[in-house]
Amino acid sequence: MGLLSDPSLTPRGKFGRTLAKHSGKISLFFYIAGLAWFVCLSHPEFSHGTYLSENALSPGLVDPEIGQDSVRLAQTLYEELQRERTDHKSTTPHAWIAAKMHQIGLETHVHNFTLRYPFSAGKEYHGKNVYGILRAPRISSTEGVVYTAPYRAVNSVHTDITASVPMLLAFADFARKKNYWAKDLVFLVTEQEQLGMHAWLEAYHEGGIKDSPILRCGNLPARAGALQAALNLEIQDLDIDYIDVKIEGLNGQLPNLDMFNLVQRLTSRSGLSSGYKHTPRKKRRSNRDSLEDNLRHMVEMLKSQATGVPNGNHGLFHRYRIESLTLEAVKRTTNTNNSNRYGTALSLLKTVEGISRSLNNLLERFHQSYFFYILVQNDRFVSIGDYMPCLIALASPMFIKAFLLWLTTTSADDAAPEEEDTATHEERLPMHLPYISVLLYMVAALLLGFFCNTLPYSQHVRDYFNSMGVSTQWSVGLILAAQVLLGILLPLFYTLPEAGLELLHIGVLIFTGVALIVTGLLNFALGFILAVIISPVTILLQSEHVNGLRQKLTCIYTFLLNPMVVIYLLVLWLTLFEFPELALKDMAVRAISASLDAITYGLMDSIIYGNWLYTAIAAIYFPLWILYWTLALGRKSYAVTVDKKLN
Amino acid sequence: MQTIGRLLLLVCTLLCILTQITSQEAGNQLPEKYVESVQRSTHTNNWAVLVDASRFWFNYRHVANVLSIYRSVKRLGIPDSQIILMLADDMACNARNPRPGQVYNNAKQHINVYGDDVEVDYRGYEVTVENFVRLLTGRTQNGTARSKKLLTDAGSNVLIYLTGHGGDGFLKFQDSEEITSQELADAVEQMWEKKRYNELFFMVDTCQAASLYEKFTSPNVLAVASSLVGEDSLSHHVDQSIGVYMIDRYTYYALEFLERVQPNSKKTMGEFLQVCPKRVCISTVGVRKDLYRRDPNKVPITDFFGSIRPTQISTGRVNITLEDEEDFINAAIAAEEEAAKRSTFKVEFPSQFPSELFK
Amino acid sequence: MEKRLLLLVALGGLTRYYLHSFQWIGERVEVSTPINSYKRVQEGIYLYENGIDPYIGDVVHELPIILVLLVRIFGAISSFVPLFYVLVDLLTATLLYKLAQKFVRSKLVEQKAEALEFAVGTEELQVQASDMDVIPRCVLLAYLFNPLSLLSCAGLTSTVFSNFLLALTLYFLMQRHLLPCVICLALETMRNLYPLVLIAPVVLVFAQRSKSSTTGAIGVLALFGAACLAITGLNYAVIHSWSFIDATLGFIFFYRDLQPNIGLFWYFFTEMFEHFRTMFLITFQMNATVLYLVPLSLKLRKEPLLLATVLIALMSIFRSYPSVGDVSFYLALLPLWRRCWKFMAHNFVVFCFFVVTLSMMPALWQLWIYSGSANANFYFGTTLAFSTGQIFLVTDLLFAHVKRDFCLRNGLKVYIDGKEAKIILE
Repeated sequence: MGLLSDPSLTPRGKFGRTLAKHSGKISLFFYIAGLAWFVCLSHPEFSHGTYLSENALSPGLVDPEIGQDSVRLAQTLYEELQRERTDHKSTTPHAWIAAKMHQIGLETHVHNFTLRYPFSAGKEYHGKNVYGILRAPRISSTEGVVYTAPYRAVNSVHTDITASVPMLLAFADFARKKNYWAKDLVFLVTEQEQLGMHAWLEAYHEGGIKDSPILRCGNLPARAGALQAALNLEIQDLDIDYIDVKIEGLNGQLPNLDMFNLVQRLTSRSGLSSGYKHTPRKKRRSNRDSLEDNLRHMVEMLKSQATGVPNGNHGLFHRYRIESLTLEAVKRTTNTNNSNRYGTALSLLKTVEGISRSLNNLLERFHQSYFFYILVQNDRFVSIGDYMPCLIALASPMFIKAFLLWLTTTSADDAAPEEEDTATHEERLPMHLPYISVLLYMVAALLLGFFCNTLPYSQHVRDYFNSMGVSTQWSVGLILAAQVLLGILLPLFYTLPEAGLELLHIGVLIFTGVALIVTGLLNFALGFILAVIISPVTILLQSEHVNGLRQKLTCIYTFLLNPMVVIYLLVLWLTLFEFPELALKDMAVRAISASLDAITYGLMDSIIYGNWLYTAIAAIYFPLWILYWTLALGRKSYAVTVDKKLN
Repeated sequence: MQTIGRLLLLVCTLLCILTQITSQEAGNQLPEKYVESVQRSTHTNNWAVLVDASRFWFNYRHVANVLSIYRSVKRLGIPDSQIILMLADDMACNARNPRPGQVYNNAKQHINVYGDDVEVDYRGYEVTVENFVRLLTGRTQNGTARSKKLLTDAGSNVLIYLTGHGGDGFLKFQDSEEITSQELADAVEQMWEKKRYNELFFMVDTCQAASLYEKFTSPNVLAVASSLVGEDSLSHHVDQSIGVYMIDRYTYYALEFLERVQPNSKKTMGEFLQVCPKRVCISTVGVRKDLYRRDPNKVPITDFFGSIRPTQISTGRVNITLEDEEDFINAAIAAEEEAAKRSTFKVEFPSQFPSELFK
Repeated sequence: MEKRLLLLVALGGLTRYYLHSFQWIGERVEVSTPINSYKRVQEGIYLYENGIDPYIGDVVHELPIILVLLVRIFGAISSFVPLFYVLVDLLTATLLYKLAQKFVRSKLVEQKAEALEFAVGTEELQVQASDMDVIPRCVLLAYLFNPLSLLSCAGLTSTVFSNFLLALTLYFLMQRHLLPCVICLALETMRNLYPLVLIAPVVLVFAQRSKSSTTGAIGVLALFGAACLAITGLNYAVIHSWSFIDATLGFIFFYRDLQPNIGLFWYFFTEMFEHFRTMFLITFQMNATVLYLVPLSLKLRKEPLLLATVLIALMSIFRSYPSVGDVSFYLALLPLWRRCWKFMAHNFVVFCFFVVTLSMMPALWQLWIYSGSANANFYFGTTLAFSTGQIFLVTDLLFAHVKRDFCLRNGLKVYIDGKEAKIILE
C-alpha cells in the first residue's frame, strides 16, 4: 500500500510537469496505438475460430426430413399469393394468410395496432399482423420460438420479399406433422416493416400492462410462453443465389454468437452459400481471407452497428433478450439451367428445419457463448476482451492528459518557488480555481443538450409549428439549429475567468473519456467511431503553446465536428455517390433536406423504437461539442489577455 | 468418538490389506487344489446397481447405455427386485422424443430398451450423490421403499455400472454436483466392512473413467473403465432422425459381447475385460485387477451379469450339531420379546440367504 | 444566513423538487436499497393504516415511529410528501452549514492557543479568518449540489432522514449539547445500526468535559444505552409488537436481501457457500463497525469531528445496504478539512474514479439486467472500483491530516544539512 501511505510531503514531482509538456505527443501515441490495435485485430492471430458452446443445440445431428412436397407447397402458395397481390396493391392479404394458417392447422390470430404519428397533427396509421401458434404436443406452453416473415405490399419501395410468406407457411405445414416439438412455434407475418414487428413484440410482452400514447399495440389473444429465439426470413425468390445473415439489432446489440454459429453451420451444411455481409460469389472470390478483406468486414460491421438501427426485423427481439437473426435469401440473377431451379429452396427449408430442431433442443436461454464480438470472417471473431483495448487506448489519453493538466494548473508555480512570494502561492492553490463558474458553464452546455432532447417532444412546440404550417422535418431542424446557434454563441456571450479555460479543459477531457467509455460499453461500434473522430481534437488542443496555424486547425476541425455539420457532410457524401450527375449546388441543397430527414428519422427511432442514438448525441455529445468549441475559440481570447498583461 | 472410529477403520483396512497380501503369498505356495478353491465362485446371490448420472436431452446416450446394461443383466437372470436402476432424466417421455415412450440404443432401432417392464428405482432429481452413497452403504433413510434399497449380504456379487459425464477423479450428477473417486472408494470400503458384498464388479463409462477406481482399497473388487485418465470416452453413433447420439462406444461393444452370452455360457470375465480394443473404442479400456483374488480368465461372466449360483451336491453325511431344542426356542422367544420392546416400527427383512450357517 | 446563501438553499430545493418528478431515480439500485426505498415506506404506511403489522412480511424496514410520523404527514398533506423530503434535506444542508461555522470558530480559538508551537511559513496550513466564510459555504454547496445527494433526495429515500439525524448529531456534538446529541444518535442507530460507532467521538467530546474522563465516558455510554432502550420502548408502544427489531436491525445485520447495490456485500453473499455465511457475515459486519473504531479513536482522540467524518465514511463504504445518499453525506464534510487538502495527493484520481464508476454503473446494469449480454461480474466490478475509490479517499484524508500535523510543527520543508529531506515511513 505504498501508493496510499506515501509519506513524502510534496508529492507532485517534476516528472509530472515534464510529462505534461508532452501531453499532446502522449495522446497521439495512444491514438495511433488504439487504431493500430484495431487493424491488428484483423490478423488471424488475434481472432478466434467460432465454436458452439451450447451442447444442447447439437446442430446437424438430424437428417432433414423436409422434402420436395414442401417445396411444391411453397411454390403453389407463392403463385396463389402472387394472384392475391394483384388485388392488394398497397395492403396485406390478411384474410388469405390467416386462412392458409388456419388450413395448415395453426391456432391463428390477428393482431391490430395503431400508430399515432407524434408530429403533423397526429395522423393515424393502422396495421395488422397475422400469427399462428403451433402448440408443442406433449409439453405445456412455457417456451416458444418465433419464425417471422415480413410482408411487403406491392407498392413498397423496398426489395420484393414476397416469397418469405409461402416459405414460412410451407415450413409450418411440415412442422405441424411432427410430434417432437418441445417449444411452441409461432409463425408470424408482419407488415409495415419494423413497426409491425415492434408492435407485436410490445403487445406480446407488455400488452395489457402499459400502452404508449404513440404506438397503441393493444393486447394479444394468445401467447406461447417465454420466447427463446426468433428467426426472420426475408426471401426474395424461391430460386436463391446466396444467403446474407443479418445480425445487428437495436442499439447495436448482437445475438448470442452461438445463434449465429448455428445458422452459419447449418446453411453451409445444406450447401447454401451464406455468411455475414455476404456478397455475390463473383466479387467475393477475388481477395478472400486477406487482412484487407478481414478489416473491411470488421469496419462494415461497426458501421452498421453504430447507428443502432436494426437492419432487419430480428433486431427488435434483442430488446427482450430473445436471440434472433435474419436470413436474407437473395434472388439468383444469373440464368442457370432450369432443371434445379428449386433445389435451393429445398436447401433453405432444410436449413430452417435444422435450425428449428436445434432450437427445439435448447434447455435454457442462450447464455454460453459471446454477446460482444466482432466478426472478422464468417468463422472467426474477436471477443470483447480483445477489442475493448482499442477503445481504452483511445479514451485513456483523455484521463492522462486531464491529470497532467491538473498537475500543471495546481502547481505551476512550484517550478520557480524562490521568485514568488507566498501571496501568489496562495492564489494558485487548487481551491482558488474558478470551479463554480466552470461548473455552471458546463451545466449551461448540458442544458442546451437537454433542450435538444425535450423541445422536439413538447406538445406546445409541435402545435406551434404545426399551426405555422411548417413541416415536421423543418420544425425539428429549426429547433435544433437554434440550439446549435446558441451553442456556437455561448463562448462569445460569456468568457470564463482566469484559469477557467484550463479547468474547463480538464473537465471536458474527463467528461469525454467517461462518455466514450459508457457509449462503448453500450454500443462498441458507436463509441469507437466517436472516439476516432473526437480524439484528434483532444490531441490538437494545447494547454500552453499558442500556435497560430495549429489553433486555426483546431478551430476548423472542431467546427466540422458539430453534430449537425457531421450529419450534413455524411449525407452530402452519400448523395455524391448516389446521384453523381447532379451539380454541386443542387447537391448541397438536396443534402440539406436529406439531412433534415435523417435527423427526423433519428428522432422517430428514438421515440418509437427506443433507439439511443439521437438521445446520446443530443444530450451528451452536443454539449461536449459546445465545450470543445469554447476551448478551441477561447484559447485565442486568453492569449490576448495574457499579452495585455505582459504589456 | 469419530476419530476412534476412523482409526478403527484404518486399522481394519490395513488388516484387510495385510491379510490379502498374506493370502496371496500363501496362495502362491499352496498346492493346486487350494488355488482352485480360491478360484471357485463363492457367491450366493447377484445384485446390480445401474446409474445414469446425467440429465438433459442431449445426453440421451447415457440413458440408452444404462438401459442396455439393464436389459442384459435382466435377460441373464438377475430379477428386477435385485436391480437398482437410477435414471437422472426421462428420455422416453421427453417432449423432443419423436418416438414417445421408447428408447433405442441403436439407430436401426432393433430393440426398444425402455420396453414394457422397466422398473426405474431412482428417477429424475432423486438421482443424487447422497442417495447413491446411501444406497451403496445401506444407510437409507427410514421409510425408504424396499425397491430403493440394496439388500445385499456377504454372499452377494454386486455389479455397479456408472455412466455420465466425468472428469479426472469425479463423476457429475445431474449437472449440479459430483461424486469423487475418494467418496466412491470410501463407500465401497464401508460396503466391505458391513459385509455387503462378496465380490464387486465396477464398470464405468465416462470420460477419464479410470480415475474413478483409482482410490479403491477394498478387496474382491474388479474394475473396468471405458477410458484412462486423460482420455475422453466417445459416443458410438448418431440417430439422424432423433438428432442425438445413441450410445457410447464402450457400452456398445460391451453389449455386443453380452448379447452373445447365454445364462449357461462358458464366457469368462477375462474375455469381457478384453472387450472394445482401442481400434474401435478410440479410448483405452482401463482394467484394475490387483484387488481381485481370482483369475478373471477363469471366472464365468455369469458371476456378475447373471444369477447363477454355485451348487454343490454332496452325497456324504454332514454332521451339524445343533443346540438343544429348548434353548433354541427360548432364545427365539427372547429375541422376539427384545424386538417387541423397540418402540419404533421398523420393517426388517431377513437376508436373502442364510449364508453364515454354511461357513 | 446571508441572502445569497438562502437563495442557494432555495435553488437546491427547487432542483430537488424538480428532479423528484423523474420516477426512475427512485427505482435505481444505486439510490434506493431495501432499507431506504420510498416504495417500501409507502407499503409500510399502507399496512399500518390498515391495521396490519408492517413487519410481518419482509418488505418494510423502517422504524415504527418514523412510519407513524409519515402517516401523520401523508394523512394531513399527502401531496406534499416530496416537499417534506426536500425540506428535511435542505435542513440537513443548513445544519451542516451551521456546524461548519461553529467548527471553524472553535478551530480558530484552539489555534490561537497553540500558535506559538507552529513552524514558520505554515500559514497555508493554519485555519485563516477567511475560512470562517469559505468553509461553511463549501460545505453547504457540497451538500446542496452534490449530484449524489440530489439523486438521493429526488428518489425520496429515507437516507434523507438518516443524513438529517446524522447532521443533527454532529451539530449538537459541536454545540456540546449532550442529551439531544445522544438521542439523535440513538435514533439513527436504531434505524441503521452502523451509526453505533459514532458513540466514540461523542464519548471523546463529552468525557473530556467532565471531571473524571472514565466516569464521564461511562455516563455517556449509559445515557446512550438508556436512549436506545427508550426509543425501543417508544416504538413498541406505537405498534405493540417486537417484530420491528428483527425487521430493522436484524435485517441489516443478517443481510437478508441480496438485491445489488453499490456496496460490497451483495456479490459476496450471492456467490458464497451457504455454510460459510455466518462466519463471513460476522467478518463483514465487524469490518463495517468495530474493526477501525479503536485504532482510529486512539489516533484521532484530539479531533473528534475528523474521527466522526472518517467513521461515517467507513460505514457508508462497508455497510450492508449502502446508497449514494450515504456517500454524499460524508463528501459534504470534506471541506471542513480544507487545510489538509494540500497533502491529499490522490484527490484527482479519486474524483476520476468516482465519475467513471458512477457513470458506468447504469450502463452495466442495463447490459446485465435488460440486454442480458453482460453479467453480475461486470456490475460488481464497478461497485468494487467505486468502493476502492472511496477507501483511497478516506486513507488520503487520514494521511493528509497526519502530514499537516507534522508540518505545522516542523515547517513545510524539512532540511537536514542544508538539503531537503525526504521523509520515509517506517
